[in-house]
Amino acid sequence: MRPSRLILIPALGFLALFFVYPLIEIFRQSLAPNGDFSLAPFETVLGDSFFLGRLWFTAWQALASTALTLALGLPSAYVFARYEFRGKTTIRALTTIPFVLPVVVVAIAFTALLGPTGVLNEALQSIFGLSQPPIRVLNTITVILLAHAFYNYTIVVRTVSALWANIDPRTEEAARVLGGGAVAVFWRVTLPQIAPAVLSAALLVFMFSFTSFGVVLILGGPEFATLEATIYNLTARLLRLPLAAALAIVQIVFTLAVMWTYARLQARTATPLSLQPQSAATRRIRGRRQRLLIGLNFGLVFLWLGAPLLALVERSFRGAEGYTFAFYKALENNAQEQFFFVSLSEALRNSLWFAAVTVLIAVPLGTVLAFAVARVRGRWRPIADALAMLPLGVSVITLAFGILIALDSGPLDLRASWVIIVVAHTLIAYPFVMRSVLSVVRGIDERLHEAAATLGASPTQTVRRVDLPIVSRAMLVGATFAFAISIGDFGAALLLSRPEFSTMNVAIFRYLSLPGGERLGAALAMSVVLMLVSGIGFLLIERFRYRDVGEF
Amino acid sequence: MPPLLEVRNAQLSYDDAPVLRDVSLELAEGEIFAVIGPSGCGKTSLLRVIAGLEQAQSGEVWLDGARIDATPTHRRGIGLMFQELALFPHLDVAANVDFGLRLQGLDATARAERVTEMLQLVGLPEHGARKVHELSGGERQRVALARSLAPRPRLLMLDEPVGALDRALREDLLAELGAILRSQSLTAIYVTHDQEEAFALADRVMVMQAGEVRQVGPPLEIYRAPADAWVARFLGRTNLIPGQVHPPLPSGPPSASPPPRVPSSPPSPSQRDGEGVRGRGRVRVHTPIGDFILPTPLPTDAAPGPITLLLGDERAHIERAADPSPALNTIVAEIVAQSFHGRLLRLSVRTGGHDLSFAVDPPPPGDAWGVGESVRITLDPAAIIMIPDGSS
Amino acid sequence: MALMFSLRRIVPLLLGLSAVALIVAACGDNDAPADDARTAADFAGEELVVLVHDSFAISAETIAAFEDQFDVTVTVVLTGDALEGLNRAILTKGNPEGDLLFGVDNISFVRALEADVFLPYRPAALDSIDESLIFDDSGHITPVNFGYVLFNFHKAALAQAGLSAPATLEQLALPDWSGRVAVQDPNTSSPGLQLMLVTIAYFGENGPYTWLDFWRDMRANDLIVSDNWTDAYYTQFSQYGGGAWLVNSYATSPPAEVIFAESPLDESPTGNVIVPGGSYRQVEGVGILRGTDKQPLAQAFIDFMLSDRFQSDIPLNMFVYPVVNGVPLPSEFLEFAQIPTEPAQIDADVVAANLERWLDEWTDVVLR
Repeated sequence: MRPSRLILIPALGFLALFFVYPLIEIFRQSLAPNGDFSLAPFETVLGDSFFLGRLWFTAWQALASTALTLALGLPSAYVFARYEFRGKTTIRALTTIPFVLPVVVVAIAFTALLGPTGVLNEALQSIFGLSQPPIRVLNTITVILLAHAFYNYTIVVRTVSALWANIDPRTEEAARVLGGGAVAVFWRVTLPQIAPAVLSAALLVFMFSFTSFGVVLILGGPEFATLEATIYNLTARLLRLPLAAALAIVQIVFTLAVMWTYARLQARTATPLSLQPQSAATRRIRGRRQRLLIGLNFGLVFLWLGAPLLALVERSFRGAEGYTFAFYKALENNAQEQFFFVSLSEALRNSLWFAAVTVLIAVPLGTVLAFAVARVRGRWRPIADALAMLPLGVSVITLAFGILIALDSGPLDLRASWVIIVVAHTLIAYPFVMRSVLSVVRGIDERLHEAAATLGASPTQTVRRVDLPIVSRAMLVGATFAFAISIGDFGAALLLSRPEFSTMNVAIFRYLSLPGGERLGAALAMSVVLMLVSGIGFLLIERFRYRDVGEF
Repeated sequence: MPPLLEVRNAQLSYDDAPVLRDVSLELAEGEIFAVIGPSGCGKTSLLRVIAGLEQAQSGEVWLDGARIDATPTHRRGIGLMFQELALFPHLDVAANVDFGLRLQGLDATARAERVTEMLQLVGLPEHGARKVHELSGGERQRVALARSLAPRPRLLMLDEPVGALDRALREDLLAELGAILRSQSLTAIYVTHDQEEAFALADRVMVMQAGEVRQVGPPLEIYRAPADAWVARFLGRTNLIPGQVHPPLPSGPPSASPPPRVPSSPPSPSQRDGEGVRGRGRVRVHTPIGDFILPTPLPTDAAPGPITLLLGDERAHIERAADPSPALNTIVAEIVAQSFHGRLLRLSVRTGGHDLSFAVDPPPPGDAWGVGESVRITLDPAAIIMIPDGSS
Repeated sequence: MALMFSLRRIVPLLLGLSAVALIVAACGDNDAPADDARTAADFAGEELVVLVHDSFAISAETIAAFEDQFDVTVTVVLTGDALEGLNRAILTKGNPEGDLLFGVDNISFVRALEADVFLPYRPAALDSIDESLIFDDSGHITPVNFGYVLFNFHKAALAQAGLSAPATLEQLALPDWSGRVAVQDPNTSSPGLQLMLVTIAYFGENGPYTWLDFWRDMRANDLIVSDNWTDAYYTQFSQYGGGAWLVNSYATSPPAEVIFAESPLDESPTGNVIVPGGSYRQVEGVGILRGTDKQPLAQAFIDFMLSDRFQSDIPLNMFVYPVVNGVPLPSEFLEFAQIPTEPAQIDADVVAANLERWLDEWTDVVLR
């Protein structure tokens, strides 16, 4: 067997053990507890307008969220791809910060800005002398879409700008010379070339919005519920497992269909592009129009990403009597000597440790799977692709309960171990790595392999010396997301948490579980630390890039 | 008739580094105009300014009697074939060619006809359904040309269109390109760093250096009389000697030098011109390697002072130097190297510390020159050009 | 070259590291294998795993005292909210994740008994617990603490609006409180569920004005419904910048406001809305999970939970009341937590039989 296939064994083993087996177990126990498989739950789910309504709502809000995120993210992706300017890396790191923030904290920030007594409403009321707050977006579909865009903006910016930066800008100029106005050039020349990345980003945003949980429930209010939230309720609270399993399978089938469609589209759009090293395509900002364009873009981004974040920072310093560091000091000081108190340093250590291990597993796993999927030819490729992405479409609670009953004995009884947290993070994170690497692997010219072979490189050496260097940038993009997903996770860490492995997000949750101004302050201070630490993490990962290779 | 294209005093700089300095040019309808210069001389930027891809800081661009500085690129009706071709990788060959037609809003039949016509014109009638990445280098070049021609631009600009190809392919394509441009009676600007391409194709040539126009004129004129030493050297004419102009001589046939023996080549137009020139005046130039007397087109050029002489090798006569003493319009030099290039022999010689090079008829059989021998080279006064530039 | 060099080294390193991390973790974190020979008197070196819900809290010293006394290790594992923890126990019946489960309450215990996930145990200290708090007659679940769910009001907001706290539940539907009342979804939140039970007990299912009529009116009055307590309290409640002057919360929230105030307070900024039948008393208990191999140690831990040491540590950690009589309460509790006089009376069996229907009906009326 070729060594490149051997390396697939641990990857598939990981998925079989931590993903496939638990899922099969929970479905078996839910749908055929006595060995008799019953279709009744499916009939209930598919025949009930309530569940179908949930599926419909889930799908269209995900689609709308994706469209909004793309509309906001693409202009920024363009600016990041085409222009060189000071602070680019820092701004890009900032755009990823929302991704790691717990929903409850974001809800506090949104409320502080957009709520009935929020900054914006009060300002508008005092300017226009209105008696009622003019902006009423909380608990509406609008705020759900805004929040999804707030969270996922960075996916679009990072995924699309990575490819866009390598598209030959002269093809756009050629189109202009041939008579294309700005719209025609974008529509007919730019978009088709960046389509693989746009589709890829759209799929990820769609999946995140489709399985969104906290954003929909907390910001949208209880009248909005996604399929995921329904499955959670049926599983964890109501223990109506047959129904939950049927819904989870419906969700899986739906997401598989979406991903298969995506993979088909992707195959159609993927032509070997004439990619350029990024330096050839980026320019410095010149002229007033460009400055204005870029200023407008970042003005919008700062207003819309920065304002909620700044609101959080401001509130974390605002005490009853003016600004104070008290909340930050409280993070290290266990005044109540609680058993469950997590000091900042402990939480930080746990968060970083889990994130580091997640990155270390998810990046090789995603890369190996990307190469494997790229090798699949013909009509099986979209299927392989969709299957490899499946963890993004599976309900977290279904999987968690599956792990509970499947991995419950002998050396595999990991139920009380932190390993399960990292496994959960890895399952969400590796599809990002895979997506990011796959789009590059597919663009690798077959002639490079042939050239390497004629130079005496074995297939393994070819992968190591030709493919890996080319995909290294994509691996780093994937690593950024893996880091962000792990450090921003809340569900998996809370589903199984011991005081000694509380993460920053769990600590924030604990602070917010009892009333009191000091506890709110401490939660916000911890959130600010989380923002800072993840920002620094993103910057450090960016520094890993290999400058001599450029971004392909 | 007003010029089709006029550029007036274009100035462009990137981050305070000047790229175009006060560039002006005029282009008549139907003319093929070549811009040559070393890489980085601003020739590509000039095309980009004309196309509207770049905005000059000052200066004007006129097309068809209308000022177009503010017209966006896509409304200028100017075609541009990029050096890098910039074919659309996501479209097949036919769709690439069709691109501009589609934007013109032509109906499908007309477009399909034009695409077929264009692909036939560039010799790729069967390639419409091919993907861009399946094409060879030469085929891509042809597709790019077809794509630029298809929308019938008022002006077609070609930026090093054959630069990336190997030599044989380049010459073939160049000949074809010339034929195509003439057959379509297109007005074209052709940018290259290779003067042979430019001379072969263009009605007029413009030489640029460091963002400045050094010389504009018909190819022969530019070759024969480079405006300055830099242009001469860029054109590969390196026999440059500093000299001093003597006060004017009285009219009449040259007194000291025997009439040059004309080689077997047919008389060239310049020789006939020479008759007229003689009437205008002659000038005597003193150089470290001997004195030269040559006709001057204008008396004013003959003001005494430092100049540079370009010693052309047309009709140069070589013989063994029995008598090493210099004479007018002759050089006595030592052969440093020689190499045979088909019909002509290239001799590298040294005299008075100057290295010169001449392409001459080979000596008769059995009478080869050897390295280290002294030869006497007699030059045609009409091939000696005075360049009003003291530095060399 | 630098790139290839580094990648060549990094990739195997990454793979190797992740493999090692997994193996080490898998080997290191296993529970000790079962040892039947061990006697109740000798727990030395054992690890007791206590499963708790998200809101569990106790001081570190208290846990340490138990560990020192028996020379054991206590591992506390959070298993989501209370219902989720119980459902996990039901799902893993026979091979539980831990030895004890804390957080079964005076409603959910019916489900726990049906599923038979607990071993019976009657600690001696039950004698010193008020009869009304011992909700499980079958002797499987031992009560540990209790608390009240009711509305809190924001004093400053009411003062500014010139209102006083409502005197009956019916008044909540008046225009004065339009858009000013925040509750939680009973489908997703425990206090939300308890408030729903309060309204069922108070208004009843039959008669001219049923509990659903009340909720219908509340909805028409721009009721704010949150997904969970944290969101309702920290984003909807006007005390924290929201629009709601009344929020469904706990009787101990006002003293918590004082204890966790940024600067010392003489008075709580919030107060309890005391109305007849307008509160719910939740009692939480602990049970030994069937399938444990540490039953004696688990029993010792339950005894410990009813000891003075543990009981007196409850109020300031979990902000609920200890069940054992005579345990002293902190002064803030006595000063700022008005205890409701007539909590709603609800029969757990009736709840178990009707809960799903009620939830569906509530959801229909309030959310759809």
